[in-house]
Amino acid sequence: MARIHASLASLGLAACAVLATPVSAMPGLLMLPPDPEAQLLSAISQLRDGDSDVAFSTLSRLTRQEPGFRLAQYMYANLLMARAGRSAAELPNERSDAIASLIDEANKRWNHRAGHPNAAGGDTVLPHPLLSLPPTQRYAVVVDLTAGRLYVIENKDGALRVVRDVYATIGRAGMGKEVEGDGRTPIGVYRVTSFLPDSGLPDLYGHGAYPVSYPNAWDRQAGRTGYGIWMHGVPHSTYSRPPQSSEGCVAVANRDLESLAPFIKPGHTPVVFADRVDWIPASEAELLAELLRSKVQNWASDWESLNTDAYLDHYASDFRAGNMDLPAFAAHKHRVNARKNFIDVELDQMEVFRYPAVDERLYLVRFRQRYASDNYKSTSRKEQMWRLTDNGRWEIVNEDNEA
Amino acid sequence: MFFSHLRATRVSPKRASLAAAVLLSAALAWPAYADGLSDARGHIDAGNFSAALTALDEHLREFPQDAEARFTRGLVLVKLTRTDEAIQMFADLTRDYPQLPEPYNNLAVLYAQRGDYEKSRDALEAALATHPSYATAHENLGDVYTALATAAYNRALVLDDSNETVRVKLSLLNQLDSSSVGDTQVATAQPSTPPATAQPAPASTTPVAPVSQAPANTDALVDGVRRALFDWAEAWSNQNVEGYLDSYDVSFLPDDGQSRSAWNNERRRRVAAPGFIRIELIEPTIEILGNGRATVTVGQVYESDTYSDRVTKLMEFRKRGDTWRIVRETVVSTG
Repeated sequence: MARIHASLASLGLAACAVLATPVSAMPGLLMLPPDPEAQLLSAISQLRDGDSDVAFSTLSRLTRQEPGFRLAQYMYANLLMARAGRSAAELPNERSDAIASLIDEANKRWNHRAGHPNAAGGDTVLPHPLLSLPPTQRYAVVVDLTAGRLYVIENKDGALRVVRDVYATIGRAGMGKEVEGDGRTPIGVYRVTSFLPDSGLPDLYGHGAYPVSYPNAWDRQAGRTGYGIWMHGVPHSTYSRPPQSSEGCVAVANRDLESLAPFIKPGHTPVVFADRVDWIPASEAELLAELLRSKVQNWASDWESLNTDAYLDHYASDFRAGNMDLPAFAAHKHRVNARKNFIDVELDQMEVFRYPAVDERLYLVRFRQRYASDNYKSTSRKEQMWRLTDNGRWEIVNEDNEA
Repeated sequence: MFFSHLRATRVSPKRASLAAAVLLSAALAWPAYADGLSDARGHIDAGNFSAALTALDEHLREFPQDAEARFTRGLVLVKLTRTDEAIQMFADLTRDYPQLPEPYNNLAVLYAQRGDYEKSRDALEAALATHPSYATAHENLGDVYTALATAAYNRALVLDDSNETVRVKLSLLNQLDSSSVGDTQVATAQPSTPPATAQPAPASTTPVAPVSQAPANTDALVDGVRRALFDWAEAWSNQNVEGYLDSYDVSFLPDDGQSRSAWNNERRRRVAAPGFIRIELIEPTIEILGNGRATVTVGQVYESDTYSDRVTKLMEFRKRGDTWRIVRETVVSTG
């Protein structure tokens, strides 16, 4: 139990004074925000300020409102014991691992007490993996897996800006999914593929689920396995889950999942699972995005020029497209292009990402490609992984047609 | 009061004289009510609660506003396990005499008995709002807070609710049951202020536990602890592992800092393993601390086929329902 007290103390929760007088109605608290996390954060700061009476009242209300908010119940239990004039150490202590994960949740929530980085105004900063969205893409989701925080980024009038952030649970074994059943949340750039409503799902998923497109082409090339990575709710009897407790999915409170509905368009909305998030100025993101767009444009122009060698020069020696390596790909392109009189390539709806958690400088671009030649015409969605080498060369390391 | 005798050890002589003064003034204030009530008390003494209820109902037809009779009727309803009606009775009293803390307290006990600790807390806080120094309500509130804490803690860690919540419920319930010993005296000492028309007597702010009961009750508590202590030693001697482990409260913390489950496993092994175990307890000294707590200092001779020692132990017991359980066990000296 000493361990727990120490962790509570680290949160500043040690000031649970024993009260000699009965609780009376606390004035001035009628206007508390209804958001449970906001109430919890008020309670923590009230405790840090030594206002254990006010914190008690806040937690009493919160636990009544959200009985399944385990962290709130835990803090409330501690304050109740203090009121009873007893030590919290008298509570059964068999689940010290569970207590540790509640403390972890408290820290993760507390770290975000100031709101998201754009909440206070000032210069816009963006999560470093998200560089650019096309006008057709109104929102994107970025999850900071270390912080346990899901951000919604809005694309409005050509500018990106965080508009919402919620606490998020990740895999029980952490992040960096490699094989099926490893209990990790993948790191990568995906897309929401659909929405599965509550009615067709077991209670575990709560309000519903947004499956994401793991494994993507990059994952498959790296030999990663597994499936069924979703963003979903939590059991209806629960408010939130410990920071690391899913099988690899990202789980958020049901009311938070509901609040995400207006932002997520199944089949369209990009989702980035990042190992961590650095916040960079929007101007820096735009500069990088512009650079990538010009590289991709050069690639398309060289393709149109029918100069197959110049076109192939954009590809890395370790390039792969599905099960084709560079020599196979080059042979194929030489064969196809030789029969053409013209090729016309138009690209639009381009999304640009800095790929998270890789040793190299990798950038993912996704776009719509309208291809026309004298004997063939198609419209498809393509994604390319670009590498910036140490020598300053930009090259394509992976290419795939999106499903 | 329901809890008064259990906690009577805390009542000081000064309070005793106050309580007596209240009784006297109450008797002077309501001479007309005495007959019907004393009939009812006779029945209560004889354990005939149905007859007591009939007598009280008759009495209340004549004196519908007799707060003392209504309060006694509430207690009798509890005895008859007509809890809903008892709750109604005490709730009516709190409405008619909001300045009286006792009906609030009893209402709280009945809510707690049902597991509705939130309502129980509200009632106790209401009692304390008018009588901030009302010790019984404070102590009960402590129990209710503990029960609420346990419930919140179980919800926090998704523990099985059968854990301790139930034990705390039982503890309150049995405190109610044990009140049968002295209902009449307690009831006599009850609504210590005149009915609504009069101002609350100043003395009503003190707990009105009948002090004459204190020694007897303390003896009963000491007996309970002694029984628990010897049951523990007997289970140990008989290598009755489950009985031995059952002597320890859910809140028991091993002295050596082990987790409870690790300790359980170790004790299971050590109690079961020897060919025989003989335990002798020497001169246990039992001290009742009140609030369902007691300490025991005892010499212990342990002998088995493989080991023997002699130590002095300091143990702390906590009353859970009818039984006392060990919450601390420390060896204070060896040799």
